[in-house]
Amino acid sequence: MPAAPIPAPGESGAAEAAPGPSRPRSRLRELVPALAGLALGLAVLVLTAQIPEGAGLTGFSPRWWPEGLALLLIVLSVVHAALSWARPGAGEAPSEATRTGALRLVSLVLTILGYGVLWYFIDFRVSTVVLFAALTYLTGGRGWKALLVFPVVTTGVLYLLFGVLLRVPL
Amino acid sequence: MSPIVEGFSALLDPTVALCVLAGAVLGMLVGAFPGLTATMAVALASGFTLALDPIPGLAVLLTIYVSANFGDRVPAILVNTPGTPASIATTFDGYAMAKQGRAGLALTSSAFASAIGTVVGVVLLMVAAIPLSRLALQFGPAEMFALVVFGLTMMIGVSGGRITKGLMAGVLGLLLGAVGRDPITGAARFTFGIPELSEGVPFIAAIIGLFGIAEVFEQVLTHRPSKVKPITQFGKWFPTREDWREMGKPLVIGGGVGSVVGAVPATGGDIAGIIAWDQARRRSKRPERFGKGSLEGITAADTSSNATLGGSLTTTLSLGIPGDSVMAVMIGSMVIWGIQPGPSLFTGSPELVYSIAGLMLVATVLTLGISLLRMRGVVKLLELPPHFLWAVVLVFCMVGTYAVNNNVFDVGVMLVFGLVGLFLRRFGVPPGPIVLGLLLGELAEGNLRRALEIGGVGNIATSPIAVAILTVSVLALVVPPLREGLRRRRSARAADTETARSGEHVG
Repeated sequence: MPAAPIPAPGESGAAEAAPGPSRPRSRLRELVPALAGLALGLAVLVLTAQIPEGAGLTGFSPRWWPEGLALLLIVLSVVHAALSWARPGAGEAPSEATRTGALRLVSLVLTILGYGVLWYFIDFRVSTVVLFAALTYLTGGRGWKALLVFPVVTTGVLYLLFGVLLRVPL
Repeated sequence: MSPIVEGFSALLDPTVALCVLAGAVLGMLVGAFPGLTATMAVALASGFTLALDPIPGLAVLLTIYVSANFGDRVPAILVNTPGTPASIATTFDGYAMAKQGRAGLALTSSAFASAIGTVVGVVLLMVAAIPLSRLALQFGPAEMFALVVFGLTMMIGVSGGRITKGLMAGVLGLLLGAVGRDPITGAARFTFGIPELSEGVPFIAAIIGLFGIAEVFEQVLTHRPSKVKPITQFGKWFPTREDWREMGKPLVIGGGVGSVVGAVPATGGDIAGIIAWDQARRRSKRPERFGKGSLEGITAADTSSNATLGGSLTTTLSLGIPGDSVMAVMIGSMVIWGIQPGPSLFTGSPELVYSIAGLMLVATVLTLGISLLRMRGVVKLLELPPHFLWAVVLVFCMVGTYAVNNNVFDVGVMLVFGLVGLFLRRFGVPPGPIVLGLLLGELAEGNLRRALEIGGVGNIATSPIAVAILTVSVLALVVPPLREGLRRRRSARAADTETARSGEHVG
C-alpha cells in the first residue's frame, strides 16, 4: 500500500500533502467553525435588514438572496455543531502549530503592515529591499547572502517585471 | 478563415512563445517546490498577466497549469512528498522506484506519461468543447442554476472532511458573491459605504489571499525541518522497449479515467490519479508490485492526473462551471480580459478553443523537453531553505494584487483573506467551495431569480435536465457519508463477531 501521506483531495494546497503529525479531531476544532458560521449568519441577517428594498421592479427584493443564504448558514452551523457533538470524528487533524511558528507568523503580519506604511513614505525599491530582508530574517535566513544579496536581487526582478515591463506605478 | 487555422495562427506571435517559455519555467519551479500549488501560481500570475492581451496572458496561465503538473512529480519521486496534490498517486510507486535506484526511469517515464495524458485531454477538448457548448446553449435559467449547484456540490463532495463544513464554505462563498450591487435592481448590498466594494469583493485579491498567503502562513506556523534527503542515485534514465510495452495498458487506463474525471466539475488530478492507479492495479498481471515500485502504477497515475487538464478546460469553457480549482482562478482572469466562459463562448469565437488547445500542446512539448533535460538540476532546488520561498511568495502576492487595480485596498483584502484562509485550514474548512461560491454567486442568484419569476418552483421541477442535474448533486453529497457509515457499521459488526469468537475459544 502507498506509504506517502495522502492529502485531502480538491487541490487546496500542498500543505495538506506535507507530512505532519496527526491528532484525533477534537470537539472544539469542529465547534469553532460552527460557532463562527452561526455568528456570521446572524450578523448577515441583521445587515440584510439595512439593504434598501428597491422600487419593486421584480418579485424579489435585493434582500431575499442574502437572507436565504444567511438562514441556510445558520441551519448548517447548527447541524454541524450537533453532528460534531454527537459523533466527534477521528480523522486527520491539521499539522500541529509550533510556538516559534506562531511568533514568526505574528511578526510577519506586523512586518507586512509596517511595509504598507513604509511604502507610503519611502521609494518602493528601498522599502521592498527592507521588507525582503525583514521577512527572510524573521523566517530564519541569516548571513549577507540571505539578508543583502537575496533582497536586492529579488527586488530588482520585481521592479523590472512590474515597474518597467508592465508599467505598474509602484 | 477556418476556426482551426485562425486559432492556431494566433499562436505565431513571438510574444506568445516568450509567454509559454516563462510559464513553463515558472510552472516547473512551482510544481517542484512542495507547498506551492498550480492554483496558487496561477492566482499569483493573474496579477501580472492582466496587463497582457488575452492570448499571451492565457499562454502564461495555461503553461503554468500544464508544467506544474510535470514539475510536481520530482519531489513526489525523490522525497516522497507530492509537489502539488495532483501527484499524490505518483508517490505510491515513484518513491519506491527511486529507493530501488530507478529514480531516473521513474522521472522520465512519469514525464512521458504526463505528456501523453495531457495530449489525450487536449484531444478531448478539441472534440467535445464545441458540441458540449452547443448543447448547453439550450439551457434556460433553471438548468443554469442547476449546473451552478452541481459545480458547488461536486467541489464540496470531494473536499474531504465533514460535508456540512464544505456546505458552510459554499454558502459563505455565495454570500461573499452577494457583496456589491444587486444584479437586477442595482441596490447596494454590504458595501459599508466603501466605493471599492460596490463592484463586489475583488476576486483576484480574495483568491491570492486564500490560496497564496494562507498557504505561506500555514507553512510558517507549522514548519519543522525535514529529515528526508532527496534521492541522488538515478540509475538508467530512458525506458527500454520492454518498459514501453509494460506502460501500454496503464497509459490507456490512465487516459480514459483522467478524461472522465476531468470533465466532472470541481474534480482534479489528485482524485483521477488515485482512481487510475487503483484501476490499473486491478487489471494488472502483477498487482502485487503496485505500491512497491511498479512502472505500471506510476504510468497510470500520471497519465490520468494529466488527462484531467483537457476535461477540466472543456467543462470550464463550455459550461462556465470550473473543472477544478485552477480553472476557478483562471475564470477570474478570463472575465477581466472580456472572455466569458460559458455556452455562448465558442459560438461567438470558435477559434479560441483551438488557440487554447494549441497552447496546451506547445506547453506540453516544451515542458516534456525541460523535464527530460533538467531533472538533475531540480534536485538542488529541493534543498533550498524555505525562507527564500516564503519571502518571494509573500512579496509577489502583495505586489501582484496591487498591480491588478493599482489599489492598496485590494492588498488589504488579500491580507484579510489570507488570515481567513489560515483560520479555515486550521479548522478543516475547505477553501475551494468559497472561491467557487464567490465566482458563481451572481450566476446562481440571477438564474434562480429568473427561473422563479418565469414560472415559480414549477419551472425548475418540470425541467428534466435541471431535475437530473440537481438529483446528481444531492447524490454527490449524500452518498459518500452514507457509504462511510455503512462501512463503519460493517467493520464494527465484524469486530464484534471476532470478539465473540475469541471469547468462545477462551471459554
